[in-house]
Amino acid sequence: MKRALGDYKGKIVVLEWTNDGCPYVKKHYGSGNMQKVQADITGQGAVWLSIISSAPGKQGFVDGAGANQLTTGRNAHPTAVLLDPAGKVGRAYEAQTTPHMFVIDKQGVLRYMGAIDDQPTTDRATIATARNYVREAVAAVASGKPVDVTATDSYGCSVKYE
Amino acid sequence: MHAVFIRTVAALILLYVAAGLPAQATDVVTTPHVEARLVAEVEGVPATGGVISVGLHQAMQPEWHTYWRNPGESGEPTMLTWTLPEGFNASEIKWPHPKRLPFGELANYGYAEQVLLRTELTVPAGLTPGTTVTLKVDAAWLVCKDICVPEQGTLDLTLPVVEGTPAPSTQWQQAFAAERAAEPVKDGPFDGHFAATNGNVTLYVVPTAPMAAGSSLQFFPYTKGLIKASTEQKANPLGSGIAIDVPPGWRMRDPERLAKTNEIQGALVVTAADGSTKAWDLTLKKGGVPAGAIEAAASQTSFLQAILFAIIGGLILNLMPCVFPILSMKALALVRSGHTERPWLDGLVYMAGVMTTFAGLAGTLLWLRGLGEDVGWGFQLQSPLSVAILAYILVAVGFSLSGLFFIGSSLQNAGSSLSERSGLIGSFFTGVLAVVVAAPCTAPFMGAAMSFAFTQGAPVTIAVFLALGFGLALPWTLFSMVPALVRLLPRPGDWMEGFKQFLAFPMYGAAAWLVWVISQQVSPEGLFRVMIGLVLLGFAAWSFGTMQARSAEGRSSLLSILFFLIGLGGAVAVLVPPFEPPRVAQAAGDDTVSSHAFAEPYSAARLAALRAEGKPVFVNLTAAWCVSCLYNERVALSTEAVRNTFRDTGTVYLLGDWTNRNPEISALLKQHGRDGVPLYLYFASGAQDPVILPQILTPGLVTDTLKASKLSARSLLRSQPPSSRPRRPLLSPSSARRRRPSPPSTPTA
Repeated sequence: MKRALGDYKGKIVVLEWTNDGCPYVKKHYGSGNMQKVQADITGQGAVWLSIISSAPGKQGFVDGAGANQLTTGRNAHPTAVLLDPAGKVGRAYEAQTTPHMFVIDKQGVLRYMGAIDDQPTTDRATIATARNYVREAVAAVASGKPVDVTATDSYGCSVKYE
Repeated sequence: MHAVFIRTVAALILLYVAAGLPAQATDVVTTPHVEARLVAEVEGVPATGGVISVGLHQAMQPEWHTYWRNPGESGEPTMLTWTLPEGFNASEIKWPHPKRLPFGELANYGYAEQVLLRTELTVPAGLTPGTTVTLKVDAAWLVCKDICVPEQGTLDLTLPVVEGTPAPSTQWQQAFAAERAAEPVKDGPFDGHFAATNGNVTLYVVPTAPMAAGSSLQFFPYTKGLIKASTEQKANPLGSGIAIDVPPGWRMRDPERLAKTNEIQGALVVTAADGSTKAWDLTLKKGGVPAGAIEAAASQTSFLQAILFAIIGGLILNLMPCVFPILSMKALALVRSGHTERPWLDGLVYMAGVMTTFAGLAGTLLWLRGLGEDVGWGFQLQSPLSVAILAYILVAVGFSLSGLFFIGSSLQNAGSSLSERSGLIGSFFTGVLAVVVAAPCTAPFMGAAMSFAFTQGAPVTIAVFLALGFGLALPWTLFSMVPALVRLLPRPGDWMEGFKQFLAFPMYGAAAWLVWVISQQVSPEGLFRVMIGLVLLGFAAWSFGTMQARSAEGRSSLLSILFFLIGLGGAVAVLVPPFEPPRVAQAAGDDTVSSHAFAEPYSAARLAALRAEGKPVFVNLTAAWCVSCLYNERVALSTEAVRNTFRDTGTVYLLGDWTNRNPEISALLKQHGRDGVPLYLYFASGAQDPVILPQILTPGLVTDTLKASKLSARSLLRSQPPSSRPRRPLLSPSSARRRRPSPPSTPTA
């Protein structure tokens, strides 16, 4: 099944680049942080798309079944998981790392890009006190306020393009 | 339960034993990909205190790497957290310069094989010799190959407290020396600049000392996201420096952030021909990049384009008033030679004359620039002496056309072969003269070609000048090569003598104008000297003509020769004493300004002040000897409509007069990639970069420019009131539209 951003017109869309083998992704899923953010944000009616741009044979590559298994296995709450093994979407957004986050408003305008939070490490202990930029951006966009931090350096493993 | 107890006790005992032993065992941590050691440059700490170097040494598995302070497009720098005895203090890591490590289409800055992360340790005074000191560090690093693994280790190192200076470590001294050599050094022999547009960042490095031949440069910013690490940096020589064009990172694509970025700090790594490297800590300041560089980078002006522009510029130069009298002379010569056997030869020789002169001009310009003189096209007119000489030449040519004397005297009585030869010499010098008088005119396209020329090496400069000459000479040379066209010319006859005499008047006119130029460059006394010089020149010309006539009749011409020498000697003599500048300093400016009284004289300080106030500013860089400038001022800038637009838009008009050399104006020209006037700049209110107007102005063009930016500024404000304006400088709407993920297939979760 194919998805286009246009399918979600009128909704806030969050894009999350992911690779389940990456320690930075593990930090957020292993601690339950990512799942919580997903649940909260999708709970507000926003769309969450997890995108896997790992090429076949590279770390993080999964097929459809594998992706579904991952989602159930880690109790994740994305609206959908998009498979981008050719890296087309990843390159279009210039996604560099996993995680790499994008927040798009209801009109389809990009409002935030960068890191999930301000703690560029694999240390799970930092999550509790981290400033979550994605939550902030979604909240601002939802309430029609300007986004305070519109872009940050993403951190993590490089996206495993082919 | 029991087993757990025993294991705990065993661990405790082990811990106890370990604590009692010298802590050598834990100064190395071996993870699956890295062997990390805590090492010191010296064998002990000085009892009296001081600074010693310690560091984390990482030896990576082949193909694995750790990261620099700016890790590039992914990754994470190694982090050290020290636990030190009281009074000790550890500095930040003194990062040695990294290597660019491409991975697929992304790239990182980091270290492969091994690295020593040096830290300076401040040791307090008053330690007891013979005791030991234990340093402990928690190190965390990310090590990657195609996948990434975060690793960590706690290391400690015990060093004895020694009297005097501790001995260097036999094992690690060399590694520290190598590391120090790789650290960026402050105050290097470079000046750094940068300029950024939305699509391109130009890093511009100017060596302040000669660089070794074959060196290459690479710049590593300390901050992430400024430039794209994934694009390999290509350094190109440009002007007096080296330009590196790189695509911007997200920080530089955000106009707001870009506006706030006034400098970029980083490590400039110079790789010598033998592969050895040296790193400098360099701050690139915003601005100061030759505009030619930005334009060239943005428009990708290539060598071939510059040559093409130069040829077009040269062609158009034929239509400029400066060259007119010369062209009519040329036409006359062609009529004369058109019915000889080889008119095309005449055309080629004319071209040779033009191109030789252009080559000479390029050579002189390069030579003067080599001496540090800020000169450009038209430079020969900035010295009153050369303007005076030019006026002499034009008047002398005029006298000859008027029939006072003959050039190549023996037209009537010498043989036809000689006549042809002297005709060729004449053609050559017509070419020379065409270039000399063309100087005051700048044709469209010339500016771009010339600015490109001067940002390149000498061969390119000369090539561009030659192309300009080729363009200038081309129409006539082509004409002379097409017999059908030559046949169209009127038959030679009596009318030629009259026409020739008529052609003297454009020469006198041009000379009159040059004298007016001189009047703005020198004191009234100097102007008088030039006028007397012209009279003496006339006397010399008349004597010369008399001499020619008398010797043709076989009569003695001694007196005429004497008169000729007196006249010529006098004309030269009056030019010998140096000229004084005009008495009233402002005189030059006032005269030029008179046609637009609302102008203020240009100064860099005034421009900066006006821009800081947010006023729109129009800058006109002109010169009395620049015909194109005067034309534009007359036709466009001093018209009622333009004046009114200036007033209505509140635009301040700054006038820079380059009639005489003026370093401030030269600097502004250079900044915008020009080497000569005219240059028209329009700084919209609050705009970063000016709009550069064409070299030929029309009133509509000027008013549109002034109004357009006013309009767009207003409409911007209207559509985006600052309060509710969405902060979305990341992507333009068009690119946002472009960036919709359309095609991926989706297994629903």
